[in-house]
Amino acid sequence: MKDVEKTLRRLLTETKDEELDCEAFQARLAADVEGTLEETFAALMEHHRRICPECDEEREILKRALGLD
Amino acid sequence: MVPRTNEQWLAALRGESDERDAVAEDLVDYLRRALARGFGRQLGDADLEDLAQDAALRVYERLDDFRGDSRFTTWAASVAVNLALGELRRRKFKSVSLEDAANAGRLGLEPPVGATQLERTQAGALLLEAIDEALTESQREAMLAELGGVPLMEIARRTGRRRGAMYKLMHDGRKRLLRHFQARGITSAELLPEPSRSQVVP
Repeated sequence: MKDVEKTLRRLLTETKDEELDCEAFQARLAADVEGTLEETFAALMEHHRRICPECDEEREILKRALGLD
Repeated sequence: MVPRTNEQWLAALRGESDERDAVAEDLVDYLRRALARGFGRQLGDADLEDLAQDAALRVYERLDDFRGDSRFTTWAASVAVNLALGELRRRKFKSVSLEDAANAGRLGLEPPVGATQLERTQAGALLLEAIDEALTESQREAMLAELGGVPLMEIARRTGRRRGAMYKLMHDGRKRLLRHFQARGITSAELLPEPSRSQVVP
């Protein structure tokens, strides 16, 4: 199976009715890396990272920038 | 850097204390060091200086967006990382047209040359058929360009959309594809890539 196909299949199986968009993710990212988000919201953030590799990369770079990696 | 509370940062940057210039300089210095740690060799000294200055300006413009649920400096660093990533992605993909990326995405789903009739009715071909039938033109172009490797952030910038709006466009597109498959009796579990499916159904 080609990578593009795998990516699209994975995205479809991860799709939920309600998801955080990238701006909502960005707005809570600081609290997320500090670990102060409530559990339910932290789960939404984690789900967004599985859908959006760009936001996942952004979080990893932020952790490195803060010395949290 | 002098330790400050969130309130002290905000008051100074809003000009409510007499140390605004010193605090603004501290912020630029902090963001420069944060970006250097975060991006390593991806950013040279000139980039670091420019991006730290630009990020400090963006932080200043967005002070009212700070929710107060983290340290101010952590939030400011998140703004700076977002800005720097946007700039790096813009540079990286500046020579890639969305059309070329969408064609690459389409190629990634097309059956191989010489495919059998069975192969043409399977997997990627079905996904491509769903993309062509179920999505709006905007959704189709953006989804194929993303599958072709262009970051959503960059697609949003080029199409004049906010990043959140672009995500919502794609989210709606994914839901349309799922409805398309459900109408044909294909469940989301059946869409799982093969290794994952075997894990779900041993």
